[in-house]
Amino acid sequence: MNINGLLVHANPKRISDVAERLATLDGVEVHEMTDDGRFVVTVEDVGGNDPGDAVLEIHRMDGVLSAALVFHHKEEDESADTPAARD
Amino acid sequence: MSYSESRRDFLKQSAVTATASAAGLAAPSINPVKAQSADGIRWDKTVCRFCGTGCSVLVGVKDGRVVASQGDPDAPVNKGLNCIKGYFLTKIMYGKDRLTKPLLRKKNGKYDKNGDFEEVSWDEAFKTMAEKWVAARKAKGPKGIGMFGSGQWTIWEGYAAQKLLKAGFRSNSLEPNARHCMASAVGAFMRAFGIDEPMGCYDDLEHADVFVLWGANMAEMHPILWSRLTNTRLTKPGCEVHVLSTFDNRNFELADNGMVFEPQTDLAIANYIANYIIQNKAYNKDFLDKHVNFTKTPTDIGYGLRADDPREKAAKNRAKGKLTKISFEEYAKSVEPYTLEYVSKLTKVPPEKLEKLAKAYADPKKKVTSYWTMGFNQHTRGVWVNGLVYNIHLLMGKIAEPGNSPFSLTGQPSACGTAREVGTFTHRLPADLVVKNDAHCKFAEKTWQLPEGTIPRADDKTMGKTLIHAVAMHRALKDGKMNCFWVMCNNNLQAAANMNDEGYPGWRAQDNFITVSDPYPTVSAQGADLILPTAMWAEKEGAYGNAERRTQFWRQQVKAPGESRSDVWQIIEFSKYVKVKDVWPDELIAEKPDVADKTLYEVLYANGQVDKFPKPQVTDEAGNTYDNDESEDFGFYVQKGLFEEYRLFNSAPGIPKKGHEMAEYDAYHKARGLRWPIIDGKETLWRFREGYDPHVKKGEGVKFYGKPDGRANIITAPYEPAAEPPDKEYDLWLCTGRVLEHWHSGSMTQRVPELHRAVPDAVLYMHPKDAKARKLRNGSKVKVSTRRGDVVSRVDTRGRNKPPEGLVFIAWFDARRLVNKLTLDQTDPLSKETDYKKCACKVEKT
Repeated sequence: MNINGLLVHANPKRISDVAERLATLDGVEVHEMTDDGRFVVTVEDVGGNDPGDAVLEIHRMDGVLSAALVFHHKEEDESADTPAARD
Repeated sequence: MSYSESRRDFLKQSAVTATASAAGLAAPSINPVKAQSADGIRWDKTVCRFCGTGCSVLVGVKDGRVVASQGDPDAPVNKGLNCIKGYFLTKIMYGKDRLTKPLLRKKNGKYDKNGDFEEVSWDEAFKTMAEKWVAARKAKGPKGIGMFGSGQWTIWEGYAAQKLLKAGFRSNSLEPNARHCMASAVGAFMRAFGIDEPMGCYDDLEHADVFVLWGANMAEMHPILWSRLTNTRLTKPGCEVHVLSTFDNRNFELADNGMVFEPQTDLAIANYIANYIIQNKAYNKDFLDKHVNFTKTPTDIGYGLRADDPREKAAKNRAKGKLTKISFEEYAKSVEPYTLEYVSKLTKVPPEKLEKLAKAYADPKKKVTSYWTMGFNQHTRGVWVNGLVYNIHLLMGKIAEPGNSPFSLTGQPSACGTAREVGTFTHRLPADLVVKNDAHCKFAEKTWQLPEGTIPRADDKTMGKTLIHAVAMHRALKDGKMNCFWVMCNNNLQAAANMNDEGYPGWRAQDNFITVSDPYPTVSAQGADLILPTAMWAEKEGAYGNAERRTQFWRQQVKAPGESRSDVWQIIEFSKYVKVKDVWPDELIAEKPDVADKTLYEVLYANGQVDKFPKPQVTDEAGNTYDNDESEDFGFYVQKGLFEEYRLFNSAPGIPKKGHEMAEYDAYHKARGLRWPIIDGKETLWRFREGYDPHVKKGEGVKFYGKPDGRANIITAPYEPAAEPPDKEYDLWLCTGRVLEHWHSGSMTQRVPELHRAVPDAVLYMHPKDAKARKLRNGSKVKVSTRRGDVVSRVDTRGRNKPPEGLVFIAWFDARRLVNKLTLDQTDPLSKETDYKKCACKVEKT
């Protein structure tokens, strides 16, 4: 299980673009957004995606000014079939 | 709902609450670490290993391994935030190719320069090294040996190295890699204020109305400070952001006024602003009368190249920097030529943009904070250009108070705390003392309980000139004047300019013995003769000092792999292999005859002062216990002993220079860092101003107490051209630098799979028209060449960096594309810092 809280600042003129782009990423959810460009986002490991890669992609996204992690939690899922890889 | 589903929901809700709170959209949340509450994880604070921001990062350890990390919500620097690199921080310790044993080049069972690396014991490693060092010191004098340390060293590592070289080996050949990144900033602080480091702090990120970035790509290099700045810009009415750079980068997305200027012409822009302020009589006359002196600096000073270079021969005042007092009128006259029309033409910045910037500085109602990093420091006129921005702030009196802050950002986690404050430069001693000052040397010798004359003087009676800076060290290795070189906690073979002509030849010269201490087989390690495996970051107890004068400590969290050992252990252990009589002359030993047969270890570290605190059982407030491998080995509290002796330079009664006071060792383990000067346990946020800085007495208002008369210097300096502008053959400016995903030479971040995947190669950012003119397209494979070498890369015309026509940009992290084969070993003649931002290149299809 890998769950992250991400504070995203977007160019206020491009809020809807950014929201649209965020919505296309697996495991990414927008919980709150403000007119001045602040986004409360979670990034999770659902559907086999790698949250690390998603976080990097958000940072590179057009219209995104800044992306900072506020919460990260990673733990081995004991119910998973595959043995958890820790590197 | 299953257990794991409900746990996922709970954690996700915690993530939302914590993030909303950080965004200012919800009440402060509970500590995210507590929400995680996984069994058996021990959480503790550390400091990020990467940039100079100094974020506090909580790490969770289970079964002797770091299993989790989290931005520290209690930290004033990052307020719970963590950047992309910080997200992967703990992975830097777990790269597959960690070095675990000392490796020595050998043939037929003994050291051979042309041999292959073989595993050896620490004992054999240090015996071999000591033999080489003692021989080189005897044969070639104090410059025969050299150590190249780091702004990533912990404070006590720098301090231990300072003693080993300057007092032990009696050599001033000690430099940090911070010479490549901060020396110009230091030079400007000393000239303008007489004391190093910024007067303001990060709190200015919320106090300022206007932010000006002068050659600082904060969005990529200081993401957490950038996040705070962005938040202020988006939420504070009237806030504006001005960005200056030689190419369009990520910061321009937020800019209200983005300016791309011709390389080197930042000197003219700063002078234009000063001229605008004077012409419009906007300056703060009262402030100038009370707190400022006007001066000028010699011009036409060369480019720090070898003395036989035609550009050096042509320079009228090569490397000269002595200031002369002038009047306000003379100063005003000196900036008069920098009119809007002239500067706009020279810089290629539209006049309305320049004027908008000047107006922001000149408006008495707006609080302005200026930031700069490598664009200013890696500049052949770096000291000048740093100073020109201080001139603007001083003219307006916009300095040393909340929101009004000229602020030099640092690139390394302890460039300030270690390189600058401990003074691990050839010419410096701890706490802003300098080798050139005989009284300062005597104070250091007394503090270290060593005879007068132990530290070689800059111009020594018996040894001659003893100072040697970083770039000169590579030249001395090539010329055979220096034969032993110890590179620790950096990757200088990859990082230093002009690798083909100046770096590599000296490293591989037959008579030279090169030692590299590193956790990984970097380019430098592979170019060495002896590799020492290093315990890194959370594998040792450490302390860093960040850009806002904040000193932060952490405890050892985990054990280092194999036989790797921390830098402080390596420095101290090596000192046991050298005897005083091996490296001191008879006359000096006669001053203290009992030391002749002692080792440097006994004289420098087991001196009754450094070893006075007993071996600790390190315990936090919650009762958790921690290892301290160095103290275990040497039998005393190594870090505390070194730090408390260091404090005799900055906090004891009767010290030569006040203003660097630090708290006791134990206080730092409790606090989220403290900003010096610390008086009566209280930190200082803004220096030089009454009410904030305890060194400024009631009624004084402002006092620049680093200078004897309490006044800061406005220093006029003109625009002068760069050393190697483009010409017909080499027709493009080449600028080098960094990217968000990798830190410096990539020796750590290239080993994090996610970061490597995101940016595997250094690409060449180019304007589409420049590409088209060379029949290139986005993605074309090209050869980039300069007069010194070439590398192969791919063109990127649509990426995050958008150069103007006539300039290309490439990052230097990529060990497979050694960008410093291209760069010129030009320096600011005053600070001796390399300019990596400007040389001429050509680009061809391969």
